[in-house]
Amino acid sequence: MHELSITRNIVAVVSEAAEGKRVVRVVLEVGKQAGVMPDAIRFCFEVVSDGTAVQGAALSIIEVDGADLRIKTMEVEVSPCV
Amino acid sequence: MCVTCGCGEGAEATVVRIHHHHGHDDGHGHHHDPRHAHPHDHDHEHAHHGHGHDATRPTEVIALEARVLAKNDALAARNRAWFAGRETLALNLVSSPGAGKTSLLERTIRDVGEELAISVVEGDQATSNDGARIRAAGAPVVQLNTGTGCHLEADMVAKALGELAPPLGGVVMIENVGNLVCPALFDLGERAKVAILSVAEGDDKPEKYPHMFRAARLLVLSKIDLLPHVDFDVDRAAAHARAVNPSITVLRLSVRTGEGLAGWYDWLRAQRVASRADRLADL
Repeated sequence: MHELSITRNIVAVVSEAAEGKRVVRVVLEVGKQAGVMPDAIRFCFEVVSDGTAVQGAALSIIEVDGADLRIKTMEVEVSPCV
Repeated sequence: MCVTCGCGEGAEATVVRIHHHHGHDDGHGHHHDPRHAHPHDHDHEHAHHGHGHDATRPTEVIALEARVLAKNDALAARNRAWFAGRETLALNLVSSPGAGKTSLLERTIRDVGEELAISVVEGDQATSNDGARIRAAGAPVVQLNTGTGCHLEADMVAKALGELAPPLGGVVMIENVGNLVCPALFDLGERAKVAILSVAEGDDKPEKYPHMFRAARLLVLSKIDLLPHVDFDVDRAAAHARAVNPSITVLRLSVRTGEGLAGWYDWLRAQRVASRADRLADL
């Protein structure tokens, strides 16, 4: 399955974008024609995110038309406003 | 690690240049590494969608709009530009294991390898068996071993091309790992994917693996010398392929008897001409 490679990419992109903040949710858009299985991503996500900034984050997958595979948003913890 | 195929755990593709048995290189020192440090090319839009307050800590939602395969696609685009700069036609050969990719390459190299200046990037999980066959057929070849990986990616191909240093104006055949599923997703920088389907397989395969057949420009039906012994219907297979990809070209051939090979060589020549024309049109 290539979903492992894809999930690694997702975790890498999100970890970098998080810039040290803890990630609580990642929202992914998966095109129906993308040739990717959302369940396989969910499975790999838990394993791949272990030990990274993305560990423990919830993963929301939205199935859309088309062949694109996109990380839409991520939700991060922020330091309380001073 | 995915239990389905164990793909990817700690995997790093290895690249091996296949030499003559007496160990001499084919004598050119030009090594070009098409890979350089790449910038991060996904968009970072830090649009603040407001603060969500859950029971513990406040959070904020950040829009990333990052295409997951952006990195592979960027490297594939770099490979594509590298091929264009060297006036090289690159083809990505895909199929189930055992459909006849390597055999077709051996025969092609023996017949027109010199005319088309063919060199090969071989992809397998393990062994240099296919690489050795290609070398024996007479073409320069680099063997990629993915370890546990089930498909080639653009970075592996870039490394291989650095080793291979194919001649200007030639053809690079990339033989992907035998797999009709995963390679469809990973652009390597090729001009076109060639899908090979043997008549010993089911003729409904194009419908069962639509992503791959949709991504292919050419469908080669191989081993047609076996038709008297199997239930494969060539016309039905072609129809299934056109149902998922109306613009696909279908050829049939036998490496053993030579039937249909002329059509394949003509297709290769036409692709070379077309890719040159496309390059000029881009200027």
